[in-house]
Amino acid sequence: MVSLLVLVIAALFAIAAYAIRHGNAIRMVIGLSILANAVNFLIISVGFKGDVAPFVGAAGTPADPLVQALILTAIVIGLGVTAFALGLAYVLIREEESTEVEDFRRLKG
Amino acid sequence: MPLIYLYASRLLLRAPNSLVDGMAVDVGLWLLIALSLPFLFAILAPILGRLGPRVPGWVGLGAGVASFLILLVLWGAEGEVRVDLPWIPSAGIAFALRLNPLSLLFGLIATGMGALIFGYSASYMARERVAGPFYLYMGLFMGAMLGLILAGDLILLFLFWELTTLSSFLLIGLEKGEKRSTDAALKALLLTGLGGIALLLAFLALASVVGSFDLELVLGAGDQVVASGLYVPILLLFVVAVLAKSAQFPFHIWLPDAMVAPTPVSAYLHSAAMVKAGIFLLALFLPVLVSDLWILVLLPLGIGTMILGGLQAIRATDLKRILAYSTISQLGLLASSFALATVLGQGAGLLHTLNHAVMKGALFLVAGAVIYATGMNDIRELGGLRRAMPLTAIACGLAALSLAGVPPLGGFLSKEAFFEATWESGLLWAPILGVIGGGLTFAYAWNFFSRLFLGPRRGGVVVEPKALAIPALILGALALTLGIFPGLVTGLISGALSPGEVFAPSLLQWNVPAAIMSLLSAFLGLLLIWRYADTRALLQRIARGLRRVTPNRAYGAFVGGVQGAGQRMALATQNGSLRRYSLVLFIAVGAALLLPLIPLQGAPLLIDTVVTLPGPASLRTVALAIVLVAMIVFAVLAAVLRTTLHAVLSLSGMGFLLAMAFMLLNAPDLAMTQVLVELVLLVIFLIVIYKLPLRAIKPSPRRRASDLLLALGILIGITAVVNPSLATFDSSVAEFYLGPDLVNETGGTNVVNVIITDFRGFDTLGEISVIALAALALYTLFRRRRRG
Repeated sequence: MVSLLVLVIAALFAIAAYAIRHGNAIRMVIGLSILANAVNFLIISVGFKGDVAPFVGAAGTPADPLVQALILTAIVIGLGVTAFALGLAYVLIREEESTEVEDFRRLKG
Repeated sequence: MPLIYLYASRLLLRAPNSLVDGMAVDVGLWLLIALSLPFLFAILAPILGRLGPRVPGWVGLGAGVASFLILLVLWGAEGEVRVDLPWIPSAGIAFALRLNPLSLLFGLIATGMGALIFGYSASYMARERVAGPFYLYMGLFMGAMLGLILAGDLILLFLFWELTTLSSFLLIGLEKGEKRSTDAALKALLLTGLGGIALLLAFLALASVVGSFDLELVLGAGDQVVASGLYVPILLLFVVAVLAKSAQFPFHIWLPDAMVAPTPVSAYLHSAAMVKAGIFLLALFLPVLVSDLWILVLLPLGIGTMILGGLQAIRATDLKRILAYSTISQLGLLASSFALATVLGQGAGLLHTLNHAVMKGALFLVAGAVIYATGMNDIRELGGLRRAMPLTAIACGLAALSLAGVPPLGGFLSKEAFFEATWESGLLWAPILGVIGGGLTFAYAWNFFSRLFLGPRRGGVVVEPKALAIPALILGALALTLGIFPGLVTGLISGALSPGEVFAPSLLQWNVPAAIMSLLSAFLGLLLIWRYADTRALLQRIARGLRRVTPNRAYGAFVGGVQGAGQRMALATQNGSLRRYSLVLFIAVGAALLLPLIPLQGAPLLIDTVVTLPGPASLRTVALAIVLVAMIVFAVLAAVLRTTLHAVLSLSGMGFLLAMAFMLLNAPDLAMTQVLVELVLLVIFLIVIYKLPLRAIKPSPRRRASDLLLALGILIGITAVVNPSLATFDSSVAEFYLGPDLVNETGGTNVVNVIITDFRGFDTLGEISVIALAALALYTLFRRRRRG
């Protein structure tokens, strides 16, 4: 049996890859951002169990707190990576006067 | 060398603990001082250069003399001196120094020659613009060489060995931007560096056999090493290291090219000291590694190199290249002496090491003085300089006669001892080839002197540079002294041999076979001198005929091949196409993920296509399913919409839906963070889009089909990987954080927050660093753009 979660994760990865394969610089950054989200969602799904948030003293089975702590860090790092990639794309687009990465002459040795 | 000072201060602090220890510590401290003086000089040299162009040379002379005297006095007063400081005790590596007859002999050569060369450099380098780094690297080399000689630990020895390689590389490449200079430096680094790797492997294998890096333990474990299964690889690696460092066939090709360095470098590193490091290792490790194989491998290579170098020295016409080939030839003689592995052979090798340092050092200083005075370096264009440069002529005559092996000079005694040792070996070919090598040496040594200083005057009017002639003259006089009074050093050399053995050659004791061999080689030499020009022409014809099979050719093919392959690989993989990179990346990651799955252990794949909701069906899971499907829709929109603004808004929508999913998956902290981050990201995206001139995304129809195929492949692949691992995930680690003691220990009830702050604080520090780094990089990027 395939859980819905697995299909969602796989779909997000596939969409991210498709966006990154697109030749547009901004689209590539969007793809990177989707990829970061896909990874985060993969990790939270791994720890999916229980029915209450992990608080001490909550009634019920708590969710896995460790994966949540990992993702908390990963979300912020994803922001840093995306912001940097976007800045890079911006500078390249301005200097090369094109949004298509195949036109970026400065990347070619 | 702050390390040494650290240890020195630790020693001083420890000294009062025990009176006996205190005495020993004082002595050891002197050895540390002798070792650190050259390094201290190296550090100060750039500052000293500002005081005047000659100042660093004079201070270097002082440092060399001081180290020399400390070693000598220490030996005279204390005999053997040991320093044992803990360095990396967990790995069994110590900072150990040993002063014994062998290390004293080589140490005196290194410091004494160094001091003279620094005195010479004060004048020679005064008008050079590379003088600053020259003194820094020379000081570094002197310290490294002394360290290598004194080291009492395999790892320490290896580190100093590599430091000599490095300083040699820096000194050959002093003239930055000159292709000849950088090519020569690279060649020396690659070949001697190869030797360094071989040496490290040999040392590690040795230590694994003996069970210690301690040099004394290793040196005492000869039988154990020879009997072990690793003996053959150890010996071969060791021989490669020695051949590469001491410029023996087929690794000798770096030494003639290294002559592009200033003459003091050639005189010091590439004739007197560094190239002797390989010889030093032979002398040091002879007791451990000696066997029939040792003789079989080393002797033919040594004697072969001796003859090859001699022939090349006759063929060469550049003053310094003649001396370089001569050095290769003489190093061949030294390697053969130790290859014989007899008392006489070792004694001859040690004495000739000293003699060669003296006479070849003198000849290099002479060559430097001639080049300095005339500006010419082709021996065919020079001649009759005896009246213009009388002191240089005397120095050259003494050194050349010593090299030729004429009594009563030092070179005669060690060459005779070598001849006698080859005769004793019982091999017929060794003395014959030895005589031929000796004849070649006789011929080019005499030709070097007579061509430069005798005969008709050639070359322009010159004034003798006295400051350059005097160091050469000192060495020339020393060559004579060593011939007449060999007793000055033979006591020390006997001490370096096996206990009880004595090596005492003298002008008054004649060994008949050796004397006949000497006469034969002198006769051959005279024959060659008689037809010198013809011999050279013949050798040049032979060399032209052989030019396709030289080691230089192999080296060129190898380096060219590596560079070509690297270029082709860079062009194939780094072609500037981001699409190509991403394709390679996805395929590589996909392969890495899927490979472990190949033996599928009955893991459920897509065969069973019933999609199930996570957990038991409830309002919450239904809501989750709706949110997830919406999230996918927004993600697709972000990936396909043509207007940049629409695509970005879709991405943002996907992010907020993910936050909702987090909420439904019992992760309120994540939901909050995701919302905040998504807001920031949206603002950044909007600013960029607002600033960008081109807002529409061009469609790319040609590629769409293949990209879709790739995406489909990823969809299937990720499902195949994630599905089984999701089912079997072991979350027992998390139980630790959910225990009842958490509140008592941390004072927090939100477990995720407690993990972030109390347990995984470094993760958060790393996360903040990433953000700071991204901000810094962006700042640099935009500032560079503004400057334009």
